[in-house]
Amino acid sequence: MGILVQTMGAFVAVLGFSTVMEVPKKLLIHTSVIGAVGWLVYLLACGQGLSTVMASFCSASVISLLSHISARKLKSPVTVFLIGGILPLVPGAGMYRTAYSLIMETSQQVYKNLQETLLIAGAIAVAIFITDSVFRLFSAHRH
Amino acid sequence: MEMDYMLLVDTAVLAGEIMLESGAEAYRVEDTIGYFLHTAQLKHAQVFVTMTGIIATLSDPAIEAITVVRRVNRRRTNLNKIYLVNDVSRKFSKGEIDLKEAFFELKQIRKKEQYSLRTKSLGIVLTSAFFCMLLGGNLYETMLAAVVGTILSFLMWAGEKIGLQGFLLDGINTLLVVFASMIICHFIWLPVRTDMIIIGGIMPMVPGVAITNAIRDTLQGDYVSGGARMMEACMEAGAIAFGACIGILLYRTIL
Repeated sequence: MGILVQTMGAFVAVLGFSTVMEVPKKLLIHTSVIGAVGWLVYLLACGQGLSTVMASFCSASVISLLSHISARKLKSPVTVFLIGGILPLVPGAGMYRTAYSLIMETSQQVYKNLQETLLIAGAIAVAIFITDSVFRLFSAHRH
Repeated sequence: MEMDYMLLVDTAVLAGEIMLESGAEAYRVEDTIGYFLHTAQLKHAQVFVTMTGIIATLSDPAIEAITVVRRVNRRRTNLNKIYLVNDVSRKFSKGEIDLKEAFFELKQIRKKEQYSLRTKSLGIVLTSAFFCMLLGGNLYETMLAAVVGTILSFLMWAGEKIGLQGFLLDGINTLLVVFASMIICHFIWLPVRTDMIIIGGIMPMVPGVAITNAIRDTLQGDYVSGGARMMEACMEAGAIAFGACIGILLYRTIL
């Protein structure tokens, strides 16, 4: 139940963010669905006992995979889907907590928060990197 | 077939300029411009794109070389424009439209704004509120995050009026968002977690675009743009963290 509500929440959050990023009107729903599915994967991965970093990696892989497929099906740039879809994973919380601990807590806390933020960003990067590479292989073969 | 080479270069660079302004990856911009230029089938068609500018040149023994340099100062994510330029270039390549029509359509794209200010502001409010929920915020926290989102959308509008942009704007906005959230939580008689609300309010500003583009440019071997994007992401994240720090300090000094 909680997972369902969260997935719907992710849908609305990505929908809202997509208007700020000016996603084309007819692709709004696609982008939001990709974002919601990504978040669902993240929750399921966390439910399986994976760490936040690994869960972010799984989720980002699914999101970029779906983005690439949609981009080919709907004849549009990958960015349109990727930027909105990936947003729920971007470690905004980690960024704030790092800043907060910088002022209010010990340097050990700062280090812990900063490490987590960087690791999540890195996990997203690697996931996008791998999917991009795989799809580049595919399109290279086709030409 | 005789071609208007000047118009071709203009069209190509215009397409690139719109994409770059709208936050497309540099390699993608190079691809698009290169695509246009190669339709001339001349001996040399070279493009060099960084995050802040375009250089394109077209030359052949038969014509005088044409080189265009275009500096791109304003950057603001607009995925719709990237999508539309992509569409024009696709139609041009299929021969559905000719060069003049392509140029005209690109000129039209330049002015296009899809969503009204009200829709975008609503978008910011929704983003703030629902991210707070995703982080595990309860009903009260979500509602307060929506209030903070409203403040943020006003701040963004005001920042645009004044002409602020980039990480400076993000830093100032974060400062005010953090400060406002703490004030609200201080005076409201409800058991709410301040950090949930603040993080919701910060989410619309996090450098997701810069991070994503940095990775994709670097992957394509474009280290200049990839590195610059990485720098952009770090600057934006730094500005947000710095703004948050000042906001917390301000609150602690006053109350």
